[in-house]
Amino acid sequence: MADILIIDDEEMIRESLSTLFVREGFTVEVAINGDDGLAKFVASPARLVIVDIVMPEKEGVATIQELRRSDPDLGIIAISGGGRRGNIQFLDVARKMGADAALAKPFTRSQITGLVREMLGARA
Amino acid sequence: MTVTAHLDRPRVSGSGGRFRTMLARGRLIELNLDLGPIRRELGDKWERAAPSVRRFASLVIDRHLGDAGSFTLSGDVFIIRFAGIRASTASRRRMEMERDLHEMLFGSGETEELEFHGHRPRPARRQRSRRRSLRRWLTSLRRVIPSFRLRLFRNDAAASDASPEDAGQDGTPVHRVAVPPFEDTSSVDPAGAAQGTTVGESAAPGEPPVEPSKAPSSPQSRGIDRWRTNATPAAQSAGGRGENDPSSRPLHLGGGDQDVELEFVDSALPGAGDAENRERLTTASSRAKGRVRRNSTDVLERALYAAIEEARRQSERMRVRFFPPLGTRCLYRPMWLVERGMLPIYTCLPACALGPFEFVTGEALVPKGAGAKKTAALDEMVLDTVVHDLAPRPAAQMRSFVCLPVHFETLAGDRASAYFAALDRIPAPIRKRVIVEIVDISQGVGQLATYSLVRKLKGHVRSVIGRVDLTDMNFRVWRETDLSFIGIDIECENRSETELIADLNNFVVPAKQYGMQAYVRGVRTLSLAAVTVASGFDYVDGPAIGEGDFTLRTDPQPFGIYDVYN
Repeated sequence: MADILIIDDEEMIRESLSTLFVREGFTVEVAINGDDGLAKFVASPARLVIVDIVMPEKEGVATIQELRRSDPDLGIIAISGGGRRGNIQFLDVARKMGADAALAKPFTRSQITGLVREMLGARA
Repeated sequence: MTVTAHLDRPRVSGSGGRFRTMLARGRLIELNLDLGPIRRELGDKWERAAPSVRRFASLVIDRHLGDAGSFTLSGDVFIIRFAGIRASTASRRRMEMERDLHEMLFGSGETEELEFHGHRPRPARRQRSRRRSLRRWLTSLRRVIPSFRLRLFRNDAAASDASPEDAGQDGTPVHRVAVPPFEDTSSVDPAGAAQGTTVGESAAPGEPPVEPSKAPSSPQSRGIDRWRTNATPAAQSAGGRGENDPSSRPLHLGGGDQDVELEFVDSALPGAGDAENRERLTTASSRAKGRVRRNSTDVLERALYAAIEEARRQSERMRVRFFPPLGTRCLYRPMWLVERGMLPIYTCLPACALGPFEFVTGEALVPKGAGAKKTAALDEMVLDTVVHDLAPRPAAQMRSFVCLPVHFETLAGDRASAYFAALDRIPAPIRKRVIVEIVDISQGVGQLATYSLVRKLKGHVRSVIGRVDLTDMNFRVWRETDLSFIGIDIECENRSETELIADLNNFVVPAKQYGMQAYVRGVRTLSLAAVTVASGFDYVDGPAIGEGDFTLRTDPQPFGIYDVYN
């Protein structure tokens, strides 16, 4: 069982977050879109899922809805690219649809690690 | 027929500076085309058939005349003015008009029975060639013939309702055409002639001059609508013509009512897909059939019936050839105005029934590269369906907008005038709720051509939007074409969503840079919906937003991002 499952279609985001959390001592799993993430979560449930909103095949909000249905206690962080219209709206939607927290890209290392520690600590 | 040529001293009542100049140069030739022989041929059928015969004659003359002259009707004589051609050519053309008219009315076999002045039998080969040409022209007339037919019915009704005052001395109905006689050139009103629109003419001897006006020419009536005479009631009564006598109204060869009828001609186009029109034409054909059975000698009606039937058959063949035969409807799919959180526009998608619960739409109906005929048939079918759906709605109740797609090639092709005329059949107040979407504006289409079409369309509907290819980034051009917004359709894209996402971003970013609103159609999935919204598209449409309904909603529906996920 991994500590964190990162679902993002951007390889750079996946790799940078993965490297960051491995250095922090967490075990990490990555997925390239919602469908892939759900499949990996079913195969090996994680304690926390970081989900991007805008993704091909299956986007973030619908993924969050399904994750929440499968595990009501799962920690979910929604992330989304910033600077364009509608993104903040999406993060609000993500929260209302089941995400515990939302971060608009770009975010700092301390923001994301602090949030992850807080959520995993609370669920420890 | 008697031909009266005034080659030495042309008589012209005046029709503007152009003709006076030609007259001064001796290039204006006036010849007469007398309908007397046809009147004698038809005998007592003449009264009923006269309007149609005159209409046929107008078309025949117009066909031969082109832009090189004008004509008008005085009694049973068409006065034709040929401009800028030699006398021998004018005489030949007039004879060809006679022949074509007679052939249309009575068939080619009887041509020699009439004693045309100056007629020389043609060699058989030339006759065959000319008949082929005539047949082709008759085919092209299929848009016009139904209106003759219906007008003939109207005239029938008018004749049956004719008051005793309309009858002649022998008690037979008299068809009167109030066309003022032509006068010498001395009666030309220089002021009016200078404007090129009004000419002083007398409706009757001793009467003050009336003001004939040249009506604005429409594309459909080009060539025929050159002369129009508005005789005053006083002038009519002075000429022994009752004010309420429909047959005593001036014969309009252009503008006004004539334009309306010409528009109706296009709307009655059998290939247009309007069930009501089909029914009307079928009914008309059945009536005509019955009449022909009752009176097999009625050659005029037989000719008319044959033309109508042929047009209907062609239309049906086209329909069966192009589309599934079980019927066509419009699926109205909502378009989401993201910023406002509402569904104000309903896009019309043609849907052909394959069975009771099975429809095909989109490219399954007309794939890309299907050909201009099929594309035009589809566009006209969609327009007719929309007209049918919109027409009964009170304008006050209609608060949403209907997006009517039409292909660029239809607007730029042979069926353009028919399409524009059909647009006018949408009730005027409702037209303000119609948005036309020009589909497939390709990169090869010039900016000016698109601009011209957009301006023309905007005279008929509220606004015009353009759908281009996803890879078409020529926003600098589109911005100058007066399109309200520019969009793409991704419903039939075969690329992966990953590739699409990149292209969607690449499309919308420059659109915004050029200050254009952007829309996207055919969004199938939630992820694409999220991408399009996040990218900054202003309008989003597709199954992910709403599947659509065969019933058109008249009110904009509230719709937000939460509705997408619910």
